[in-house]
Amino acid sequence: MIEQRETISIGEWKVLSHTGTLRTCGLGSCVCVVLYDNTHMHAGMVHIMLPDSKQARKTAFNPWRYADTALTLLHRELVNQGAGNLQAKIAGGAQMFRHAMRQEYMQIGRRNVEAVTHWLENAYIPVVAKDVGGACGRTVEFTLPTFVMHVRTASKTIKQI
Amino acid sequence: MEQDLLKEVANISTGYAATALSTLLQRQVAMNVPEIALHEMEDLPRLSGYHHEVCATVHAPIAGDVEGTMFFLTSMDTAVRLVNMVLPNVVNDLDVQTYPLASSAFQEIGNIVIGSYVTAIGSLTSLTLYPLVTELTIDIGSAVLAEATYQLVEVDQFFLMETAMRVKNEEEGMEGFLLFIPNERAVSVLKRALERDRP
Repeated sequence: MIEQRETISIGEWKVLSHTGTLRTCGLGSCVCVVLYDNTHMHAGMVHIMLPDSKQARKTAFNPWRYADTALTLLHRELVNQGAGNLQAKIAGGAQMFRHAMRQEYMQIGRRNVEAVTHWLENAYIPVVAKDVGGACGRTVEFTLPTFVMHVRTASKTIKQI
Repeated sequence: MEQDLLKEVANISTGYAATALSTLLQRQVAMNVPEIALHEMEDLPRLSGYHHEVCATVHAPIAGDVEGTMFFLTSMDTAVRLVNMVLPNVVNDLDVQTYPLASSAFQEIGNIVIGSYVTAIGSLTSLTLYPLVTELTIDIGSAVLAEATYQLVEVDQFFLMETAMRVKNEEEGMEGFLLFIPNERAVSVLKRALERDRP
């Protein structure tokens, strides 16, 4: 079997079963969430940019950019594939700039993490591991069937969570 | 049409920026023909050249009549060599991150390049625009660029104006990238200002 490798960007998502790698780069203030079921061997990754879809000023917006709508959709997608007992791993939510950012987005990394955590709590999905906050950008890989998340930062150290 | 206009703007502004860099470094600086392309927001972290590498980036929000985001971005190798051209003490990779004089020197190079670019747009169009507080970030290039998406939340597509500048007569390529992402409204403001000046 050819191993599947999927790379996603901001406001994108991918679901994998049994074996393969999900990957995202360019993670600054954004948060990468992986929901997975290690019994039925399904996992889905999403790259979230903002905490709350109610802040979208347009009616036609990409729901995968916002924590609340993105997680609801990813959850539904995984359940449709037969996933049951979901767990989560999350990474990202850094503060990349100290000054050069519009006021309303200054604490966006922290708010993204809070929104994700809050949604997962309400859905009774446990956060098994996380690497969030700080001031550094991240690149994230999640591999099946090990369900291990590799988080790389500029200092070249790779964390396994 | 918009693309041609922006190209004209980018050509002239980058010329100014390259001249300023050349004066500062006391060396000849060459520039590529600026590339103007319409992108989807999702493209930002994927843009070629600075994907996964650690880069030195000076980032400046642009305010005034024309709003947007500017980046001056180089590889760490280029950053070190640039700093060594303006400082008496030789610095290395780590110094650019930890030695305040070295990081200020790089940030100042970025300020000068960005400042000249923005000033050129101003004189060309008789509009007022200026960089707000600039910031030096040493991190994965794609993660730094991705932060510009927060200026673009409400738009689906954006113009990226990009130029590569090269210090001439350096054996290994010494290259810096100048990126300007005008906000949606900024593009039409620029267009109107340029058309007004035409008979």
